[in-house]
Amino acid sequence: MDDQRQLDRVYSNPKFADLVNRRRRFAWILTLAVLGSFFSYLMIGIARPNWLAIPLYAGAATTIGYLLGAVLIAMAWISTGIYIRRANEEFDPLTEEILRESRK
Amino acid sequence: MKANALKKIPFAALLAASNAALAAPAAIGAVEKQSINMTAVGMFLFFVVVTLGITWWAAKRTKSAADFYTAGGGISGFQNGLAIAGDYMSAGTLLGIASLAYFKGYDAMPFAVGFFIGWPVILFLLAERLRNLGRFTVADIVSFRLDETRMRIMTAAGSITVVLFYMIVQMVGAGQLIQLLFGLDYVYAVLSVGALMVVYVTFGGMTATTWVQIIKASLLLIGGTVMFVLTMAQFDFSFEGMFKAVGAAHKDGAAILAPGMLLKDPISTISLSFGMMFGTAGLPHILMRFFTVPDAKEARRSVFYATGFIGYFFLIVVAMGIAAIAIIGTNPQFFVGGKLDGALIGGGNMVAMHLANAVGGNLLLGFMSAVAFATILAVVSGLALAGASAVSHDIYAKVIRKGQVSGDDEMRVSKIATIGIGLLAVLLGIACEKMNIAFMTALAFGVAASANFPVLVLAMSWKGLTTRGALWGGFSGLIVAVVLVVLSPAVWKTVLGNPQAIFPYDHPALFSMPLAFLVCYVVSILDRSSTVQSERDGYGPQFVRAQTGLGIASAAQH
Repeated sequence: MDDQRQLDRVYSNPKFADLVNRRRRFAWILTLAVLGSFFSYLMIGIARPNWLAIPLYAGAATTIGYLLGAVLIAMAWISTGIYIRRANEEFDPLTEEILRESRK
Repeated sequence: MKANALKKIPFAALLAASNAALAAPAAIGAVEKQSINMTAVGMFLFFVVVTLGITWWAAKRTKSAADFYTAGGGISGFQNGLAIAGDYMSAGTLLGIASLAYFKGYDAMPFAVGFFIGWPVILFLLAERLRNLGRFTVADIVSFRLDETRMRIMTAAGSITVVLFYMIVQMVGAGQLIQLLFGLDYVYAVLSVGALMVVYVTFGGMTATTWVQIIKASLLLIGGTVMFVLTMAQFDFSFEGMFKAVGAAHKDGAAILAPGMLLKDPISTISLSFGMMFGTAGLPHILMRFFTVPDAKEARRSVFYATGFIGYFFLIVVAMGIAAIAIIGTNPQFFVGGKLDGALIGGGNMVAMHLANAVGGNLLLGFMSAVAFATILAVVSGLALAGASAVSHDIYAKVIRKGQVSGDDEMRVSKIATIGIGLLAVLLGIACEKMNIAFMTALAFGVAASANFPVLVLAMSWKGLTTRGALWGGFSGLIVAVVLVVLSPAVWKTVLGNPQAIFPYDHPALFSMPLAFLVCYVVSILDRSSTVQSERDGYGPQFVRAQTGLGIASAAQH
């Protein structure tokens, strides 16, 4: 089957292993960063709730907790943008290249 | 009523409120029929006319099974992002998170972040593979190299369980909300939701379902933003001014702005976060959206847009709920009998609606009511389509007919299945009217996180997974999640009336999900069946396809 031969050629291409490793490492770093910061935020609220109740500046009613929550959401969204950017600029062209070579 | 209950038993009620936030306004409480709000009814009827027009247009374009299940794979990343956000921003998120912030202040913040934070992870680890491997349903992915019949039966069982319980929550919420906001009888409200949903899905398939969701998501984002701007205008657009006013207005003073009860029981909180985060990645009506875009690139873009919309919406809803402490909490007009320390009119979930009335008058209240109704309608349509696909594609076409079936035949079955699901949803919605259904959300998310999610992840990323391992793991996750919910306070105490719950937490995911992973793993490595080798050999081709999208074009054209 032609399909099978193409699959084998992709699989044995060293660039494919390279693509998979690079993408995997990047995805896990971002995942751990996002989940790590969320669970740290949650755990601080559980273990040291008064840390999150600290006013933003002397005399302010706004506390650090709200700012951190909003920053977390913003950073998590930005991290999706970062992933997509690298995927578009690096992973997609590499995938294209691997697929092109497999069709030869 | 709800408001009092929240003061007496803060934590249990908070979980109930968080359940409401996950899906529909389940716990509105004893609602009384209101006089008919003509603004709301007029705006809603306009929405219905527009969406029926879209359904008529979509019906002409829905010719093949691929059109029906996935809109032919022709939805763009931006459109799909809006639709995903729409699926996720149910009426319950608006009403539930706003109420949580109003009653619990700061605690709504980590809750909202936790409900949101699964999305980036779905992008990093799942989105591209889902698109590259999936065709019509999640079962297409898990049965790629494993035994088709058994895997499809299990995945369909998980999907249908999740869809049904999630749907009952939506139906009961719809009935109560519409009764309250529109003054329509509960039974008629449930019937009209069921009927419209069946029309959208059977005639317009995924194309109509997606556009209904896109329109509703846009309306919700626009309405929410208008409400947010009007709310902040009351504090001269200063968050500091708002927090000062809230601290001054609340009986607990500034303490309401600091971490409170939510964090007193860490295990519950973490189990809830687990269920929300990983349950999201196992919800069939969300997962099927990844099959409506043409390729992995658009799948990525959809999550980017969806994440942005969801994060923005959650943040403004938290801010509005907190602002409501100063706006609603000081206005006797919104309390039963005009007593400020009494219950809110319409129950604890009405904070967002009262706020719309307070900052935008009857016009904004009418608009937001219509949007809330539209929201429920759009979400149940997505659920019905997901349930119908599991019945027609997985059970009928692949298991019963072993794939020997024409597209027309399969579509016909999915339309019959949609009508069946619609009838079932209406009947169960009516049957559960007086029931405390808060546990059903925990059940839907618990099963999604413990049965669907582990099997999906392992099938895509672990070569060692075998059919037997997946079946044992998936079913143990499903059964343990259901049993733990039955033994939890929400069912054992509240529904069954026992004095003490056997399992102390309302959300099972922290326990049932790792168990499912463990069982999948142990049974797979001990598996000595004759098919193990070929299943593991099948991982290579599947892996190449997942990583590169090879073969995806032909899949979309089928």
